[in-house]
Amino acid sequence: MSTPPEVREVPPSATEPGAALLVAKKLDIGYGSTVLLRGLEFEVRRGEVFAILGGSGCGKSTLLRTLIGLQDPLGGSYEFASELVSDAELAPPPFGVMFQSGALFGSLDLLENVALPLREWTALDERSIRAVAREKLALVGLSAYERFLPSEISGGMKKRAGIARALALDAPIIFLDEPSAGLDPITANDLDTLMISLARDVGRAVVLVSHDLQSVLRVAARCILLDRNAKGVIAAGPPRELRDGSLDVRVREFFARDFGGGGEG
Amino acid sequence: MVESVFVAESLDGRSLLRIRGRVDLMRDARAWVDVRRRIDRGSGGVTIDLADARIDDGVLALILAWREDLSRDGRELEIVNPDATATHLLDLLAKHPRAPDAKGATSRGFGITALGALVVDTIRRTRGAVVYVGEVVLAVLSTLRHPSRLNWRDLPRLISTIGADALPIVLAINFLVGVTLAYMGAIQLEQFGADIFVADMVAIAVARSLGPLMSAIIVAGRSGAGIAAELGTMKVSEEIDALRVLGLDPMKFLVLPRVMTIAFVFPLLTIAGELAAMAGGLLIGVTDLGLTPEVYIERTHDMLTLQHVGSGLVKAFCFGLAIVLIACHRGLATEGGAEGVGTSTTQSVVQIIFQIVVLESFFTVLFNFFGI
Repeated sequence: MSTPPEVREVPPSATEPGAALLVAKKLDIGYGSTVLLRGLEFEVRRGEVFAILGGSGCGKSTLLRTLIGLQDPLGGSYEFASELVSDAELAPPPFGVMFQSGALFGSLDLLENVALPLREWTALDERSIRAVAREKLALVGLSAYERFLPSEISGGMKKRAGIARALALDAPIIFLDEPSAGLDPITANDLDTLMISLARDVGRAVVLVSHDLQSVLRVAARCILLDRNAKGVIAAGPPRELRDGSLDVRVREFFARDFGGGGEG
Repeated sequence: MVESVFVAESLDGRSLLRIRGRVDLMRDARAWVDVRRRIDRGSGGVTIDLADARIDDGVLALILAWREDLSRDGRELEIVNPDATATHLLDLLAKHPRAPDAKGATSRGFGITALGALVVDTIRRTRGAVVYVGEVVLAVLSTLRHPSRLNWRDLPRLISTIGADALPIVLAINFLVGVTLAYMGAIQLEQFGADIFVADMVAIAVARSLGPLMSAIIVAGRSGAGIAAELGTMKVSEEIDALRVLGLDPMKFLVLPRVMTIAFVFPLLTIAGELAAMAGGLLIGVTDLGLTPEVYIERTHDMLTLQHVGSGLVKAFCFGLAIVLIACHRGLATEGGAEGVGTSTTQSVVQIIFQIVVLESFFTVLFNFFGI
């Protein structure tokens, strides 16, 4: 019943900033026979942070699971830019993923967690692998915890280590599931800066699933707002414009939830 | 004397219930049930007067649930004089309408429904198992083509935990089995003066059947449960998903190393266990039957043909595969939190032991048929 995701060609030029790296066309998602979201159309562009927003239970996480290939779409398709899809029989996917809980491998310390994709997919020697893994951990501020096991660090640190692992292979697209939930304000702030610089300076596409409106308003260039009852996208565009200019009462309500329209990032 | 918070009276064919003071769900539960039962027996509408009541949301929920029940009988319930708190709570509850009672909606299946569900479930499970075995075979084939893709790094650790660490308990249990077997045999054989045949009996029974069986049961309880719990925990903590999105196939990364380890290590454990069992037999032969160790060992050596040992090892190999395949399958199929891990672990051990006994019977009949 479910069709596997088609990987068709997107017009070239995916190397330039602003080029579409991931395009969803009439995508229906859900599980079993339950359709959560219907007819999703959006694209994720190089060099920007793209946010997927919506209330609890609207299908954000299911959408994410579909995009990263853990679940088949119920209809429609999504495609990665053809430059990102390797011809090789065995190749890593063109994206890195940070799971909500971090999903670190419990039997490996942080350095080994980050090194694992490098070991599996690159021909680098041991010294280089460790150097790269160290650098990724430093990027998320975990240099001091390289030799800790996931069970020995806090929830927020697990998330950050998860981000480091997602960055390990320099994938062009990074998916982050609720990166700032449960982080202290200073760490969350650092993370925002990291996301912005990954997109703007390194030219990645960062796809963010988040509840943290403040962070989204600060980092995301564009967003889509999903709604459980409408079973689809009810608004798309730059989050600030949606907050300030949307006439849709659902959109206004969503953005008004955290701070009564007062705070400016 | 505590005065009841509920005062019921009849007024123009309606029931009027005044609530006075603060209702404490723990203290006043019985009084509530009583007054509700009394009013339920009557007819006509119900008015609840909250003028003197101080109320929290738990009690309001009771009142609203009562209103639902009454409306089903065509009676209405009216709430009058709510104070500011109660009004606020009522508004809040009205804003979040309750979903229909999910538990009541789905009736439990009995008889033919349950049978149908069982059949569907069995077919689904069987299909899952076949698909899984297919996936393992594909993973093996693909690993033969790209041996470097296998997770070799885990092998030493696995061989150590599944193999070496299990050795003491496998030896101990098998030794005791050997002792028991020899002892039981000795009592019978002594009657015919056929003491020396204890060596034959222990050697053959252990090599053909009991050695693989006892070792399999221990390894199932030890490593089978361990593997199911480990993979189950990885599944519920999204680690399996994380592997997949790193482009690593859990089959090759987790299942195959364990399959290889047990396929290699379990026959070795079995051989060690068999030797321990024969040592147990020797102990009884020497101490209880007065045989000399030389005679006992000589007899065992003469009796143990390649057929006996080989057929036992074929069994052991298959038992090992059954243990690891079922444990991995159950582990990867784990759903839902810590409870799911517990269920998978228990189920895997039960299923492994069941399958091993089935395999044991199958092989016994098969070998008998071919005269092996």
